Amino acid sequence: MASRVATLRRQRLVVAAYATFAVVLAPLAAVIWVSFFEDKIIGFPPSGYTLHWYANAWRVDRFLQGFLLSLEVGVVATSISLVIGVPAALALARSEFAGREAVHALLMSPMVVPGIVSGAAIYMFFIEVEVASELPLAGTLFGLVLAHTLIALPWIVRLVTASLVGVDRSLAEAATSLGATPRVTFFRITLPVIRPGIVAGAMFSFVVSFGDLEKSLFLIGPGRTTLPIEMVNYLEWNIDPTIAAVATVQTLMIGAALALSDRFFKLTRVF
Amino acid sequence: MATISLEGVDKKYGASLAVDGLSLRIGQGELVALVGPSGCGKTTTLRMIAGLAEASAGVIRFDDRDVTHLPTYHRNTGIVFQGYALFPHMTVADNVAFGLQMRRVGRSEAQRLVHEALAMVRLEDYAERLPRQLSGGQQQRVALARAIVIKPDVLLLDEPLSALDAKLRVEVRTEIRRLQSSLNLTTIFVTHDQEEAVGIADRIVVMNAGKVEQVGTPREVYERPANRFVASFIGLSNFIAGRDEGGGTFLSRAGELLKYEPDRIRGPVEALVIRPEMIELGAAPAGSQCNELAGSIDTVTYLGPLTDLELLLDSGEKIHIHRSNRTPGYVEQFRRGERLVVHWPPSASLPV
Amino acid sequence: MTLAGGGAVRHRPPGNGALRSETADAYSLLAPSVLLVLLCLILPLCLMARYSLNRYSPGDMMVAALTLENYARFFGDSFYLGVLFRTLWLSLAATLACLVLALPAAYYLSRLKNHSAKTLLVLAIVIPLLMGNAARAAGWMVLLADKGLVNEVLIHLGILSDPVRILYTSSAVGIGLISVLLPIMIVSLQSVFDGVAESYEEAAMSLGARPLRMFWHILLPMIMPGVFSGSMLCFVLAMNAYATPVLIGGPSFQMMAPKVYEQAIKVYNWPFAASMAFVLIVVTLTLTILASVALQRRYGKV
Repeated sequence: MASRVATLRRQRLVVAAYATFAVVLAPLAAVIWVSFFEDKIIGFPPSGYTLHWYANAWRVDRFLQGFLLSLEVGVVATSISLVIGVPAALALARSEFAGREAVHALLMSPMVVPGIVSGAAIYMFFIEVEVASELPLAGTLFGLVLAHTLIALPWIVRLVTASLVGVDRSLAEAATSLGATPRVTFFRITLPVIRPGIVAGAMFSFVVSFGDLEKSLFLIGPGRTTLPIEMVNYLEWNIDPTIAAVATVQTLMIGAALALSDRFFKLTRVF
Repeated sequence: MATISLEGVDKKYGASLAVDGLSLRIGQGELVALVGPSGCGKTTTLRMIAGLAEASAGVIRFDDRDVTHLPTYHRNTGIVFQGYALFPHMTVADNVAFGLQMRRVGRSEAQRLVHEALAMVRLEDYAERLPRQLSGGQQQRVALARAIVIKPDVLLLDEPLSALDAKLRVEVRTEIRRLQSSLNLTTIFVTHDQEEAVGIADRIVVMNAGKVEQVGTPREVYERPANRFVASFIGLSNFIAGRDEGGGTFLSRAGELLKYEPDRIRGPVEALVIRPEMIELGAAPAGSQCNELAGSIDTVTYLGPLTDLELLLDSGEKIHIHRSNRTPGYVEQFRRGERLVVHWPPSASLPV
Repeated sequence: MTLAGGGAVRHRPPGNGALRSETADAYSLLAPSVLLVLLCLILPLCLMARYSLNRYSPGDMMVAALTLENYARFFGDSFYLGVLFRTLWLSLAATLACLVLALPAAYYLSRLKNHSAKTLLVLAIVIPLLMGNAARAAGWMVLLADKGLVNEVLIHLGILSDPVRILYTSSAVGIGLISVLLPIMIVSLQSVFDGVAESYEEAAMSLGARPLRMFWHILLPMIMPGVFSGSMLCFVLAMNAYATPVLIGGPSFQMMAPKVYEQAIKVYNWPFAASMAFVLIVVTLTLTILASVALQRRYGKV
C-alpha cells in the first residue's frame, strides 16, 4: 500500500520534471521542427517537409557573412583567452598570495556585469580612445575581438580552475621531488591533467562568443555583421522557416561543441 | 644514502609556530618514524626536509650539504605521498621512469632499472597499466618503486599506509621495511598511528604541538616514556596520580604507597604509568617488593587474543588489565563486580 | 639485495639553483588577464560612471559637468520608474517561477542512476541555455507569433477561431525569461542535490516522514545555499536581459537593458544611458547583497 503511494508520488515527480524539461526545450524543438516546413508561411499542419530552407539560408549573403565573421571572431577570441586564461587559472589554483580572492572575482566579473552595460561602457571607452589617439577601435575587428575575449575569459578561468581543484597539489610535488623543474612539471604533468578543463573551456568560450548579441551590437563596424545580429534583424520582419533553419544550424553547432565538451568535462561540474 | 640533520628548525604560519626549534640527527640507513597527533608538526617537518615547505629558521643538512633553501628538484629525495600522487595520464612504467628521465638516464638503462624496481615491489606484470586500474595497495607499491628507483639520498614517506585497510597496512609496512633495510635507505616515516611507528622504526620521534617530546628506540619510548604525553600516546597506559615521596616511593592520591625504580635524573614525578599487560592477577608474592592494589571488576571485554579487564580500584580510580587468552575460555572466569587483587613489580611502574 | 649498479652509478638530479619567489611567478601569470579585464571592463565602467554625471546636449552630445541631473531625471520620471519596476517585478516573478519549476527537475536529474540518460538530459537543458539569445528568441517567436505554431495548432484543433495575441505581451516575455533561466536554476540545484546524500532522505523516511514533509524539513534547509546562489544568478540575468524583452516583448515593451541600448545608440544621450546603466547595476547589486545578508543570518555562511 505504502509503496503504491510512493510510486504515485514518484510518478508525479517524474511528470513535473519532464514538464519542466519540455518548457526548456520548447523553443529549440519549435525551431527545429519549423525549419523543415514546406510552406514559407507557418501553418499547422505543415503541408510537407523539406530541406530546401537550409540550402536557401547559405545563399543569403548576409547570413553567410554573419556566420563567417562569428566563426572568425569566436576562434580568435577563444585562442587569445586560452593563452592568457590558462596561466591565470594555474596561478589562481596553485599559489597563495594576498588578494587571490579579489583577483578571482575580477576575472569572473565580465560574467556578472550586465551584457548591455558592459557593451555600452566598452563602446564609449573605445570611442574616447579613438578620439584621443586617432587609432580606430570602436568599429574595428580588433575591438570586437577584444570584447569577445573579455566575455570568453571567465569561462576558461572557471573551467581550468575547476579541473585543477580535483587534482592533487601532490602531483606537482611528486614531479618536483623526482627532479622535474617547474617548467618540466608544467608541460609533462600539469598540462595533460588540465587538458579536459582546457577543452571544455575552449568550447564554452567559443559558444559564448559565437552567440553573443550585446557586445556585438555596439562594436561591429559598418559593413560587418555577426550571425546573431543578422538573425535579430531578420526576425524583426519575418518569422519563417528560413530563420528557423539558420537558428537550427547555429544551435546544432553549439550543441556539437557542448557534447564534445561533455566528453572531457562533465557539464554539471561547470555550473 | 645521506645522513640528515636538522638544527633549530622552525616553521611559522603567520603568527603560529607549526614546528618549534626542532633539532634531530638521522644516521645513514636509519628508519626514523615521526609520530604524533594531527597538527603536531610531523608532516610539516617532512615537507621541510623534502623542500616542499620552506623553513622559517634553522638549518637542514644532507650529509654536509646545507639544503635548507635548495628547491625540491635538486634535493634527490624520494617521496611517497599520502595519496600516492601517481601521474594519472602515465602508465605504471612511465611513472616509475619519470625520475630517471629527469636525470637524463638513457632509455635502455632506464627500462632496466624500472623493471628491477617493479620487481622489487612485485609488480613487474603491471608495467603497462594505468594507475586507475590498480588497487590502493598496488598504487602504493608503484609510488614506492618510483621513489626508490632514483636511488635517493633520503626516502620520505608521508602517512603512506593511512588509506589502506588494517590487514593490508601490516603487510605493506613489512614490505617497506624489508626494502628500506636491504637498500640501506635513510628513511623518514610519518604516521599518526603509534603502533605502526613502533612496528617499523629504528628510532621514534614523538612530536606534540611542534616540539619533540622524546626520541628513542621503540623499546625506549614504550618502556621508558619521557613524560605523560609520550606515555599516553604510545601504547595504552594506566595513570596513577599522586605525590613523589622520593627514593622510589610514590604516594598515590588514594593513600597507597607505591614503589618504582628511580633509574635516572628525572624531573619531578607527577604520576606513575603502568602498562595493562604488566599487571598480574592475585596478591603480591611474599617477600617481593611488588605493588599491590585491590578493586572490583567493572567490565570484562573479550578481544580475541587477550582479555581486557576494567578494574574499579578501592581508591576510586579505574585501571585496565590485559591478560593473554592463552587457554580457551580464559575470559569466562571473570564476573562483573567480582573482587580482584592485582600486583606488579616496581620495574613496571613508569615514572612520568 | 641492491639495485644493480648500486652506489657506483649515481644518478643525480640536474642543476643547482635556488628557490624562486612563488608570488612573483603568480603575478606574471596573471598579469595579461588582469590587465585585459581592468582595461576593457573596469576602466570603461568607471568612465561610464563619470559620464553619468555629465550633461547631455543634443548638439555636442555630451558636455563635461558634474551633475546629478541624469539620475534625477530617471527617478523623477514616472515613465522610467515604471520601466525599472516592471523589470524588477518581471525578474522576481520569473526567478520564483524558475525555482518552483526547477526543483522537481533538478531532484529527478540528481537521483537518476542511468548515466547516459543523465548526460543526454543535461545536454538537453544546457544547449538551450547556450544556443544564443537570437536563436532562442526565434524559437519563441515561431511558437508564439500571431501566425506562430501555438496559434496555428489551436486553430487547427478548433479550440480557437482567431489567433490569440501572445507575442509582445508581458506574459510572453515572462515565459521567454523563464525558459532562458530554467537551465541555470536546474543545473545549480542539481549539483546541490548531488551533494545531499540520499541517506539523509532514507533516515528521515525511516523515522516516519512522508516525502513532502521530508522535503520541507530536511532537504530544503540543506539545499538552501544552492537555492540561493541559483536564484541570485537567475535574478541578475533576468534584470540584465536584453534580447528576450526586445524580441519577444517587441518595440513597445519597456525594460531596463533595452532602454540603455536605445539611449546610447539611438538617442546618443550617453550621460543618461550611463546613469540608467548604473541604476540597473546598483539596484541589482543591492538586492543581491540584502538577500545574501538575510540568508546568511538565517542559514549561516552560504
